[in-house]
Amino acid sequence: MDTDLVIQAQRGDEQAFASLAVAAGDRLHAVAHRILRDIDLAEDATQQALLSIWRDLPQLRDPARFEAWSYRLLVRACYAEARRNRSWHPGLRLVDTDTPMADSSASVADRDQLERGFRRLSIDHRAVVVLHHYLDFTLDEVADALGVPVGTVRSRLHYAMRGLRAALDADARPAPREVAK
Amino acid sequence: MSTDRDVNRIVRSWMDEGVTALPDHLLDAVLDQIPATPQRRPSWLARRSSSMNTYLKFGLAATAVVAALVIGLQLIGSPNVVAPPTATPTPSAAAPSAADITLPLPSVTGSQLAAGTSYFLPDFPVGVAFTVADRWRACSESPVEQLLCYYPSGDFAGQLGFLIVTNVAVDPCSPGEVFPDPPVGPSVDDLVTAISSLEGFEVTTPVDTSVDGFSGKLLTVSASTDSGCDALAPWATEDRVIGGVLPGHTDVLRILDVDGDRIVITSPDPIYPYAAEFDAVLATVQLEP
Repeated sequence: MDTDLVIQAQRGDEQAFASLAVAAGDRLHAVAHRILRDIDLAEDATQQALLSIWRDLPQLRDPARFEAWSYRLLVRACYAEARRNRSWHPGLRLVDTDTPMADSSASVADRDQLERGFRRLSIDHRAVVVLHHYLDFTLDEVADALGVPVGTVRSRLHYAMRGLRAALDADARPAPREVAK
Repeated sequence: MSTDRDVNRIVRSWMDEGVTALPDHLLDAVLDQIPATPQRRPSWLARRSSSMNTYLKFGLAATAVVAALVIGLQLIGSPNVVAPPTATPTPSAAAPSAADITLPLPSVTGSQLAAGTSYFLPDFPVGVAFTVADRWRACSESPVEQLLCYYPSGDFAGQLGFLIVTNVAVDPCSPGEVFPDPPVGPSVDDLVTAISSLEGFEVTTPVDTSVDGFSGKLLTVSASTDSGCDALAPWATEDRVIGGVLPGHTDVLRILDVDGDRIVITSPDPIYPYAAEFDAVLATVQLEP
């Protein structure tokens, strides 16, 4: 990330912030969608995160840490969005029909089980899984992004992956799919 | 049974599915809002300085009243002096059954709140509803630093804070530079212990307290006047300071466990001139895990 742009945006340069938003928007939205598993909630969380980034930029002491800091604000926005949406019940909506299915090694059954297991996790646990397994962050980088000790990250990841493995190993028949939208 | 390697591979493959691009309409919506969205400069210090000036005004005013009474007594020579009116505590409004309005955020400019109306803090990790009397304004800084400011006579006269404190500054005299790593633990006792060992403060022995049925600890924190600091700012999130105490001043902290979420409610010194008004708002607070 161009730290000069960050510094200019910190000083209130709206054009510089627009460039930052364009550069960071895709990855923030992708991460939000993977944490929340809902396209509408992800859009709201991304929008809120971008506004928070603009609002709080002057308080970022080290512009070089913009990327990690932006993920922290995004995770907070995801947390707030999940909380604000009182009708959002993790586990009820199993598949987003607007989610393109890539050709992957995860079978349909695996995806269903993963979806079910993932939705049982808290936002904190989901964030660790997404940053580590989607963005390929090291545990130290995840800790830096989320502002928690690396031991906490390790513990959250262990707990989350244990839950996902249990979901994959579950013998129960897949529940009927519910359509998200 | 899946091996760890299998699970990691399947999860990574699954993670690759899903949206990867920010919709144009969303980016446009954000950029449209930027001109009307003020950036937040670190401003708590200025607000606290305002608080100090107000306290000084109270002190000067009280001194003037006492002096006038003494002079009046001497001049009149009569012992039958009617006591000066004292601040009448605002009756506690009925606890809200449900919040009517969600406060704006940010609201640093101080949105006026309607007396007798129940409000709900926005984006706070714990649901907080409360009812205010007259002359209260919202002045929140961020989701983790929600503030209600009291303006009894047009001037700022103190604030009621609802904070998520996850760390304390190593050096409250030079906040924002160094935070303990690992940070303060998650329990009420962890934060009480961290606060009790802060340098530059006198901290009372914590006592049990509760707000809306949720238990915790109450302690008062007085900032030393010997530190040479303009302000002592120990309360922090993971990466920034969210408030402090002026030298010579005292804050009351209620550190509560709301079903696993730790919140801190700050209020002015109990001997503060408008303590009754703050207690009245506190009496209406409802917490929802």
